[in-house]
Amino acid sequence: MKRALTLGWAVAAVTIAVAALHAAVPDGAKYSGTRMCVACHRAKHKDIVNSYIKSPMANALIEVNDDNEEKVTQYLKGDFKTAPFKQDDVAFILASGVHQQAYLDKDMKVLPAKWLVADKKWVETPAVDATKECLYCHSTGFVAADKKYKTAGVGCEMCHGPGSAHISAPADKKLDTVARPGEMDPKASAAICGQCHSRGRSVDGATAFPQGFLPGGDFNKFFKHDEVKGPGLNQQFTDLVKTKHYEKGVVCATCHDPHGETGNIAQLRKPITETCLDCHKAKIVDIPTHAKSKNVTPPADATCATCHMPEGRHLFDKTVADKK
Amino acid sequence: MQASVLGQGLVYLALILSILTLVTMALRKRVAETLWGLATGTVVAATMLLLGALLRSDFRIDYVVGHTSRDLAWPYKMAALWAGQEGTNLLWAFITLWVVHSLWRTRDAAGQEDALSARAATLAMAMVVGLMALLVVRSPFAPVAGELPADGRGLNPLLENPWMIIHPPVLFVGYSLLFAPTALAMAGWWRGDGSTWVDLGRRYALWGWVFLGAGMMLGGYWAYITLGWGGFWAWDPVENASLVPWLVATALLHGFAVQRRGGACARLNYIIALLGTVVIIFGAYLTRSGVLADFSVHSFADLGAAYNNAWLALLFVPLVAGLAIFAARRKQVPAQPMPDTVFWLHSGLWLVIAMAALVWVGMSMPLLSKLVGEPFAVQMAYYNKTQTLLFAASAVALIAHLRPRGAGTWVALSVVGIVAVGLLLGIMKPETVRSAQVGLALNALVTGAMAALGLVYAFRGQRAGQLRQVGTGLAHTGMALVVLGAMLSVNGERSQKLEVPVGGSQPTPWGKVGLGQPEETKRGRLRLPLTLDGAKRLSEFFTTEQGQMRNPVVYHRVWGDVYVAPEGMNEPGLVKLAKGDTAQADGVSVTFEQFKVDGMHADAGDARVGAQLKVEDGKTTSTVTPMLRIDRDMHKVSEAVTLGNRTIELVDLDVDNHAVMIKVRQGTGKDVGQTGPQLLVQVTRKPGIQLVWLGTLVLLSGGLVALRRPRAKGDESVQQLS
Repeated sequence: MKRALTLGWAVAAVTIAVAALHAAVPDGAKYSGTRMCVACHRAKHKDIVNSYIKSPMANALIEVNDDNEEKVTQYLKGDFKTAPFKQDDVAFILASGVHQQAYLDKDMKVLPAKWLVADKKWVETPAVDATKECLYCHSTGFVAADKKYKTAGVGCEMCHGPGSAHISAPADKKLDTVARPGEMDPKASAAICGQCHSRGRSVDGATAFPQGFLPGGDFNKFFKHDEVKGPGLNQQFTDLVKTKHYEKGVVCATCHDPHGETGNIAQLRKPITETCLDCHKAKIVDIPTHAKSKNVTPPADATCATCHMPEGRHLFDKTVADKK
Repeated sequence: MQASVLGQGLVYLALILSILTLVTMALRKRVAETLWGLATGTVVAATMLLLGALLRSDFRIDYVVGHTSRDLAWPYKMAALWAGQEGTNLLWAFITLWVVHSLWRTRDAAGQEDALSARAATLAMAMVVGLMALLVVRSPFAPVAGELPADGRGLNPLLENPWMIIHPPVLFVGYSLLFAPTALAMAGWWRGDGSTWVDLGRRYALWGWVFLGAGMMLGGYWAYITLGWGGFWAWDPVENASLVPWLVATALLHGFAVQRRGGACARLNYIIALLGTVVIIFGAYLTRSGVLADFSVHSFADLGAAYNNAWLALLFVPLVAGLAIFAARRKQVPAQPMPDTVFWLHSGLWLVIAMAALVWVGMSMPLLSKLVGEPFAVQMAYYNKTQTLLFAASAVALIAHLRPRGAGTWVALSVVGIVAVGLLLGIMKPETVRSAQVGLALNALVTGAMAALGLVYAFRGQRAGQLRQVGTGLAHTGMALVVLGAMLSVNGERSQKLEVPVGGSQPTPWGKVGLGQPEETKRGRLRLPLTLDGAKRLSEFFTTEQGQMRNPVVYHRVWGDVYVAPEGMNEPGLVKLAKGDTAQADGVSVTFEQFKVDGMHADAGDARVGAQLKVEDGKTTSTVTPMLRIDRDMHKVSEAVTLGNRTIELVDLDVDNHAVMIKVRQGTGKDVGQTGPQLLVQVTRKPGIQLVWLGTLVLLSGGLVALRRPRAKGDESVQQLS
């Protein structure tokens, strides 16, 4: 009897601990949609909302239908006179077209060519199933099994978690029912960006994204990173986890601002070199002095990233420059 | 060289030079005069340097950053010299140096250096050294810590006012002058002489009293015409820190009057004179050390323990030294019997001391209560009641002192007794309307009698060629007028709140209040053209870190002022409601019950939030839920509801405060009323308020007349009215 009681207490304690650990996003919360968040928080966060509407995040997926004509006209980049498929087949525009744009048919299959915006040309692309490869990161609240999402584009709930519990919570529980990355352990907050800024596959290999992960959760339970070689593309978190920066808690939001419009490249809080020197100024005065000591001649417009983040990699490798 | 480094050097040099001046003065060396000149020159140089830095916006200096900004007009950049503690300490040291000089330069009848004044000058010089030490502890030239700011934090917008240029220096001249009677008293008693110092002491006390009084009046008038709360005195610690020294000086002047009529009160006068300096420094400590941060809106910032302790040293050194001299020489200044003729004058003296003591207790209450428990501040009513009562009593004492020929002491006593009981009931127990009215009427009666008797006294003095008597009479008339003005304006005040539409007007019993087109100034302030019966005045309305600033407009009438204070722009029918709150909007009572959320789980469709409202129009109660929809482009679309002939709209949400903005308008559909913004103004009739300003002018001119030197020696003898 006594042993059973002890066991009971132990189970209770573990349950409470686990529940507490998962409290960041309570179970059972459902996605409510970005507009629902905006409905209440618009007045205070007007600037965020206004810059969000125009951002690549908000327009990562655009539904092609009669209600959405204005947006489609604004964002459709491809030249369909030369396309290997008909414009009428396009049911979704994938990405706002900063670099490139792909298109999905009504069954959420990728149409066989994507448009390179700068080069103004079509290149072939495998006709994969977007529900397994793409849509988790181009929409919010996507469930691969149901082939459904809540909001097209990356919205508030991608990082702050599904909002229904927050909406129905009483006033004093509002803050406990929403994920607040700014208050989390830096590594946990980085994993939130890592949902999409990683290269690899889900643990079961079925999808290219961590289906089931929620902000604040254990990322490695859902995702396995690939070995990345070559130029960077959506590999930022895969790179970052290997770095000293990550170990010491210097993560995505340390340098990048997830909200608003900073006006700096890649939504950095400050220009590149200024960002790096904020921490490294003890050893490095400026780029010319630093380059001289390493016997290299950087281009006139060089930033720290020119040598230490070549091709957009986020390894911050000290030896990269030496090798070149 | 950088101004900051040079300035720091000058501050140290000034301290060293003033210490040398002090030492050589004490040793009676001739070189003292040269050293005084050098010290003063150094202080002037430092002041000029700081002025230059302020005008050039040299943001390498912390003081310049803290009190100016680039866009500030140059007169205010100059006035920033006395906007902060470090600058005012510099100013104070400079003025005190001149008081030292003035004492030192006093010549006796034979044209020789007056030993008493010379010693007093040395003591005043010690005060300069103390102020210089404060400047070293907290220099106005301290450099900015860290990066150079692009712009300064600006002058507190409250201070950006022409009165700022004149009000503080006048006060500081008053403070510095009041150091002199203390120094003279100590110097006199040091030699065991309790009476010689009185003549010169009176002149300095009177000059200090005039300057301090003028400074306070300027501050009160400034507050009245610019701050919009409609008053001129709020018993704030900063105000009380000037009032207590002024009351002490008032007491001292009465004490001198007693001492001159037979030598009584010699010991008391010494103590009062000593307290003059002590209360000035204590007031400075209280308002500048940050100890009252929780209790006063305008105590200065806390500048650190070293600085605060320096103030305490400046407070205790003169106090202890003064008391030591008192203890040592007490036996050499024998107590003289009180002549019967000064009984009521002596009573008046003690009543003024009581006023000063009670104000002092009130302003120190946060500190005093901290000694025994949880600190607290006294209410305004404490000051109003105690001071009104004491003033009425002192007016009775004055009347008794100047009572008509033939009325015996017993008549005077019985009148005082009856009036005192009436006043006590009226002022301390105003719960019953009748006793309040009786109190007020009696108070007005004795104050009015005081004003009249003061005039009679002054008139008789004029006839007798006694300037001192003329001054005394005028001062008492002036003081009575100030109190009458305050009583009339506070008790006769009538006020109305109005909503004046832009371009329209609203009637009041005192004229028609109109509003032109508001304009936004370059600095983001709202400029409101207000009119009263067509006469236009500009009011400014703006928000600062200190809260909303509302410049009132004041219209002077024969019987008093019409005081128009803007309270905010307002959209009619627009109310902000927190959950559970009820407010009136367009004739109905609206209660915000709860948020309603719609579209949360729908796959498509717009998100909608609503406010469930209970609306009562006196007859029926209904529940409506106006909604706010967010469309695909994240724009808000208001979905208003109609109730009867009204349209109810959810304008916006403030989720941080769980509040909603609701607008109720007449009409429905396309006919919904479109009403523009309105200005909420408070219009107040303030009868008799001019008496306050007029009284102060009479009071101070009385002081100035009393300062006129007698034409001939024989004038010194004072004629008694009785």
